[in-house]
Amino acid sequence: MPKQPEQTTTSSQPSWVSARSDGFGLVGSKDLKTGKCIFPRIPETSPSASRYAAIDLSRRGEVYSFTVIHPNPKTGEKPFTLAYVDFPEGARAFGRLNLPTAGAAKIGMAVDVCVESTAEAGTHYHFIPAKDQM
Amino acid sequence: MSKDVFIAGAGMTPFGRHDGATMQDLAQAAVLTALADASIDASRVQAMYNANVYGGMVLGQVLMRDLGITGPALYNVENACASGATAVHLACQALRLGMYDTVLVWGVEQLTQLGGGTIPLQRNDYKTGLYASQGMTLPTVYAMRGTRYLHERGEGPELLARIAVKNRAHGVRNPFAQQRKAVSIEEVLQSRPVAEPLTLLQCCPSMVDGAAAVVLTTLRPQASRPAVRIMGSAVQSGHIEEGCDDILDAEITARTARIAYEQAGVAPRDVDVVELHDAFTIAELLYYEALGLAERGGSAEMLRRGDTALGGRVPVNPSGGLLAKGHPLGATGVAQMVEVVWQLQNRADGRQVEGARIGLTQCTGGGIAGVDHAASSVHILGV
Repeated sequence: MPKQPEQTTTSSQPSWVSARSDGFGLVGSKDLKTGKCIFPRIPETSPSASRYAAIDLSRRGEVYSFTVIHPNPKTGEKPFTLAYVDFPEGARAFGRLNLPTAGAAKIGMAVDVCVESTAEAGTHYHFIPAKDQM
Repeated sequence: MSKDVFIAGAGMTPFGRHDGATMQDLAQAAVLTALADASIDASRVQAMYNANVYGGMVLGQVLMRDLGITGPALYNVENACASGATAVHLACQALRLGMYDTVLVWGVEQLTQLGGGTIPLQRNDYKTGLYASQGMTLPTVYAMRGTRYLHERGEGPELLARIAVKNRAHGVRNPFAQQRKAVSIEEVLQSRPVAEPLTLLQCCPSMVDGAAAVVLTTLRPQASRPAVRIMGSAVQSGHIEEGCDDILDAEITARTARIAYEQAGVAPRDVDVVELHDAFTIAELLYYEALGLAERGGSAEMLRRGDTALGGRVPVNPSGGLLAKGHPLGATGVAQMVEVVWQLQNRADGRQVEGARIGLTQCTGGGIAGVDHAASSVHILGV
C-alpha cells in the first residue's frame, strides 16, 4: 500500500499536493481554454493562474515511459527507475518509480502515487506498482 | 526574403578538452579563422553575435576585447543548445533588413569548466526545480523517448547503437571531432549504461570545449569557390507540454523545418547533406522523421539501409555529429554550419559528400522546461 504521509498541516504543503480522505494526492492544472491538464499545478500566486483550474489527479496512473538511471560508479549509488506516468484526468507526471527487489518497469503498468512529507525533508512524491500488480 | 545572405567565411577550433585555453582563446581563434577564410578585415564587421550558454554576462564583449574588434553592436545570444543557430538567425534578419551588410557570428562554450557529467538544469522554473529533485536530467528525457520508441516500433537497443556506430565512424574522418574512434554495435551496447536504453557511447561527450564562427554578408563573395547562400533560416519555441502528448513526434522540430523548407523553396528530398542534433542516439532517429527525411515510422529502415551514412542517399552528420565531434553548447549550431559550408564547397577532406549542393542544419535544445523543447532552429544552405 502507498505509504501515508506523516501528519502535517495542509498550509505547509506545496500547491501540487492536496489532502484527501485517503491521504495526500497530486494536484495538476486544467487549461480552461484547451481542457488539457498539466502537472505540477500552476502556482496560485502566478498571474497565469486564472487560465487554469486545479484538478486532483487520481491515486493511480499508468507508466507511459521509463528509464533506469545508472549513476556514475564513482558515486556508489545504486540504479533507480524514473518514469512518466499518465493519469486518467489527462495529465502526465514525472517521478521516481520505486520497484520491489528484482522488479522491472513496463510501459502500461499501473502505479500508485505516494506522497511523503516531513518537517526535515519537505514534501516528496514517488510511484510504486499498483497493489494488485505487486 | 529581401536580400540574399551569404556565408563568406567559416572557421572553428577542434572540439575537445582545451586544457590551459580560455574562452577568449577559443573564440578569438575561431573568429580569426573565419575572417581569414572570408578574406575580409575586421574593420568591415558592422555587428557581432555571440552565442553561449554558461559563460556569463556580456561575454561577447569580453571575448573580442583583446582582439580589438570593438565598437559595433554586439548581441549576446542564449537559447540552450540552439544558441549558435539562433545567433545566425538573428544576424540573417538584420542583414535582410539592410541594417548591416557584413556581420560576424560565433559560438563558444567551455564545458570542461563545469567538471563533467550531465550539464546543470536551469534554475528559473518551479516545474524544472520539482522534476530535477525527482532526478530529471537531459539523458533522462532522451532515454524515456528511447524506451517509448523501441516499445512502439517493436525494435531492440541494437537499432539505437547503429546511430552511434555510424556517427562515430564519420568522426574518425574529421580532425575537428573530439572522439575519433570507430566502434562496433557490441561495443556501444556493452559500454557503461547511463540511462537505459542509452549507454555511454550513445551520449555526446560532456567534457568538451570549442568555438566556431562564420562571416555573414549580403555582398556576394568574390572567392573562386562556390558562394554558400542561407536559403532558409527558422527559429521556433516550444509549446507547453499539456495532456499526455506523444513524445516521439518532435513537433517543434517538424514545425521549424516546415518553415525553413518553405523559405528555401525546397523539399526534404532535395537535401544532400544534414548536420542534426544527435545529442543522444534516439534523437537522430526522431529527427529523420521530423525533418521529413523519412516518413513517420520509417527512420529505422532508413538507418538500416545506410541512407544516412557517408555514401548513402542523404548523409547525416558527416562531421561525426554531436556524438563524436562533441557538443560545446553555444558553439554547436555555428559549427554545424561550418561543416555544411565545407561540404558545399567541396572542402570536407576525408568525409566529403560528393556533389552536395543543398545542406540542412538543425539544433533543438532545452528539453526540460515543460515544453516540447524550448528552442529549435533549422537552416538550409545552398550553392
